[in-house]
Amino acid sequence: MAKTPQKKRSARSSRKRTPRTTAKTTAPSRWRRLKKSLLWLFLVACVVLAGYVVYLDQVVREKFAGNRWSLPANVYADPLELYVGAKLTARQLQQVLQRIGYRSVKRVRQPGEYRNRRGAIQLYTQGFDFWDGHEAAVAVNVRFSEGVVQSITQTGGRQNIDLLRLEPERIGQIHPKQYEDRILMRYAEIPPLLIATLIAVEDRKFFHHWGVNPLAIGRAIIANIRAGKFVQGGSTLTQQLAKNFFLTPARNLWRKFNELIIALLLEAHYDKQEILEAYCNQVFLSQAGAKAIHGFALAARHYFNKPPAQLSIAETALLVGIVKGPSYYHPLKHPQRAKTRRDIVLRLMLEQQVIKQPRYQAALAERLPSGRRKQLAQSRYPAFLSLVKQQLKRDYDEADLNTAGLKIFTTLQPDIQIHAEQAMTLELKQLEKRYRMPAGRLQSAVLVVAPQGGEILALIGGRRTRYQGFNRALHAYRPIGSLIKPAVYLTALMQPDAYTLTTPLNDRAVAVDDAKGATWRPNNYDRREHGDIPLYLALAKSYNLATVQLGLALGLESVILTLRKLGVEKPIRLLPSLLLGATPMSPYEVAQMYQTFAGGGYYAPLRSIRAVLDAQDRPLTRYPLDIEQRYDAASAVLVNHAMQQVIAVGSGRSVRDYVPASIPLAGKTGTTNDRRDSWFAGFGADKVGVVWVGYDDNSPTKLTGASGALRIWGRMMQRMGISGYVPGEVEGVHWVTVDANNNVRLAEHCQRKTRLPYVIGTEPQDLLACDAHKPEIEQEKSWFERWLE
Amino acid sequence: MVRITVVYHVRRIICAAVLCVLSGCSFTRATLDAPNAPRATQTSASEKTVLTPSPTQTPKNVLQQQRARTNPAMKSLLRQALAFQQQGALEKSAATIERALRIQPADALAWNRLALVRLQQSRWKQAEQLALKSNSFAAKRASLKLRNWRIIADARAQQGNRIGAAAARAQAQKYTH
Repeated sequence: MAKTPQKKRSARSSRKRTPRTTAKTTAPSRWRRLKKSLLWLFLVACVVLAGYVVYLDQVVREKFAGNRWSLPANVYADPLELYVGAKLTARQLQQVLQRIGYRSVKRVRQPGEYRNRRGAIQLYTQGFDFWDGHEAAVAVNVRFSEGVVQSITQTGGRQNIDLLRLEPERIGQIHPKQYEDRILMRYAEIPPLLIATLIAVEDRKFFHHWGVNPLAIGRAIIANIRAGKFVQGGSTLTQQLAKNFFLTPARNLWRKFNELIIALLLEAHYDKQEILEAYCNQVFLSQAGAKAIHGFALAARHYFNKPPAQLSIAETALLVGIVKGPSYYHPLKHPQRAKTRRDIVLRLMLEQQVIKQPRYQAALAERLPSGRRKQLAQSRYPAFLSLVKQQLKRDYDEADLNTAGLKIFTTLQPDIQIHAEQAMTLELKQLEKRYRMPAGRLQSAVLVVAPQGGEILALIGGRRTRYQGFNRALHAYRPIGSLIKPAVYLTALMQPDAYTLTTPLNDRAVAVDDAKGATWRPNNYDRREHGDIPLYLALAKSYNLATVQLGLALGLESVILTLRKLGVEKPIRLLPSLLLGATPMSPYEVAQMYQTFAGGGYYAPLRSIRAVLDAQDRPLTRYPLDIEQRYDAASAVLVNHAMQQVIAVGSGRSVRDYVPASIPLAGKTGTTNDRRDSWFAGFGADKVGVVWVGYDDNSPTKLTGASGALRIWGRMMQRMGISGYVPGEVEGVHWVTVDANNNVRLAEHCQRKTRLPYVIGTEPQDLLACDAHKPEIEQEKSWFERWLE
Repeated sequence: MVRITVVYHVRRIICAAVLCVLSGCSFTRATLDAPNAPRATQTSASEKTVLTPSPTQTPKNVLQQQRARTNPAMKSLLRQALAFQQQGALEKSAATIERALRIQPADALAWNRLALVRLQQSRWKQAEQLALKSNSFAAKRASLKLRNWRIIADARAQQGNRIGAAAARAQAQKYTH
């Protein structure tokens, strides 16, 4: 009886239990399921996020590395060598130091500082890794005396320094294609003031945070809520870099999210310096027409025409201020806003103790950049740089040029370049005035080359030196006129048994028939015949008839052979007019020719590059000194002496308006038909200069070689200084006193005498008494004749 | 006209000053060769030791004569170049000599040294040319000319130019004392 009720009870209770259990499992299991699905969702989200982060990580690293590895090749000029006896003044040294970014200070304590005190210069060099070794940083005092370095002593000691090499001036960069409009800086090149200002204004805790600054974000949110609009961003520099470099400018939460992740990834992979470097090269600062200006270096050049190292405090403040809104704070379009912003930045700099009160006041007073913005080439020496690029292209693939941090050391000497530019600019203006030519049209090209090694010291491609334009020095092919004559005369002098400097030449009318039946009748400039003329004088006076007669007697082929020896490689038409320089050549080709003359017959191929180092400062290539004797030393002495006579008594005389006669020079003037081209090529011991003047459209100028190109040459040599040409002693050549006119020897004691070099055994044999010889030809020229030259 | 005169006189003064400095250098030769004499980078063995791979030892008095001619910067660079050469860093040695030649392009000794380096590198053509060039600046320096002609003879022989080598040796004969 008891069981049944139990059964009943159990049945009842089980029946009862089921609904109760069901009721209990509905609520918790729903909740549990929800928790489970949330958990799963969360896990999936994590996985997805992780995957996304990994993907972003890949993108970031690739792009960042790609950016860094396309740092362009830096191109450097020849460094200044300081040694006792070097021709240099305190002022010149100061200018060099300024160009390479040294700061003038009251007390020299750090590398990169100098002080000019009463004509002596104290400086602390920065050291540099050259292609031939490391130049250590050193603090020295340099004293000068009468235009030369008198002593170089170590600061704080009494040790004399023999030789000191300054850091080279960076003259340009060779960019990979996609970064055509960048000037990229390495971290070490970013001015400390710029960094400090940037940190003070944009991201004070940059060096301490790990990519994001939550406090800054929090503050910004509060400030924005308070103001009711967006007034403050909490972005760190890293975030800004992430935004600018990797992301679109879209303003949404998704982009912000990406920005945060990328910022964290950047900080994880790269150190603060690398991030700051990338930022400073990447930051957008202006839109100039179709060109976007990225990076402080390019902006500094764009707004202020200077490298970042030379920016003033106010200028630095302006650039950093622009970061917040390049169009909004554009100094030329919205000068008032820009000034206000700049002053805010300046105040922040003062508050953060980046600058002190007196400098702050001075900076406030500085004006904004004016509207005169020129579209400058990125290098101060675009013509030379284009030659460097040309020579590199010949030896390297474009891809190799684009790899990181190549250092290219060139032969350019900025001092010489600047003197040449100034001389050319001045003389062109004066020529246009003097001859009443339309202002600004006359063009010119200049090269200055080292005679012994062929190094190109200066190169000017046109009148507007700062602009990338048609490079006349390399690509303007013009007939060279009388510049070819020394090659003809050299051909003769290489046969000393047949021709000496006093061999009489026939300066009389000549007619040459060409293959087509036409007759060529050349003329002298003065339309006169001069009869028998000593060989050297025919060259000095640049007589056409004598030259043509000589050239025909020698044979055109042998003249061309001489031109080949002189380094002229281009095809030359075998025509008699070649003897008077109908062959078109570029100033560069002429410079090569005259280098061989100046080198005493030793050809050295012209070069603009000394060495190329890779990113690890390992030598990639060296362009070594490379010479080849093309003709014998005796012929060299003779032909160079004849060219000295061009200057002493001939058409090149007026160079003495600029360089005194105590400095022996040699050279040749050149004028073409209708005075379309004015040429002068000349040399001393340490420089060869070639100058061309003319119009681009080939219309006649009113200038001869002497009245035009020679003036530029003379003025530039006057400014830069030139050492006198010294023939040196050559075996088998001796100097003899002669009566040049009659090709006879004279006794040593005769008053009106000429001393000339001869290959021993070829000098005139007949000896004449002093009073019996006829007067020399070198008389006062009539003003008419001088004008014609 | 006035300007020319001023420039002319200034240049004369400069020449005089430079000559004084150079002659001063020859007197202070001893000081400059002292152990703590002056380069930011390391200096080396004195010039008296072997000018490899020249076959003859250069008499001391000729060396002194040469030293008197060159300025301290040149000396320093040539010394450094010699050190590099002795260490086997031939290209560095050549680069250093080229640097010296930029300072004084007409220095016969520097050209000779460069010829020696090229000889050591088996660059026969350049060795010959550089030695010829050295001779063009060597004026009356008989022993230098002798060494140059020997280099030229070696280089020509290596290039297979037997006649030229013989001619060079004949030239060298003129300078043996």
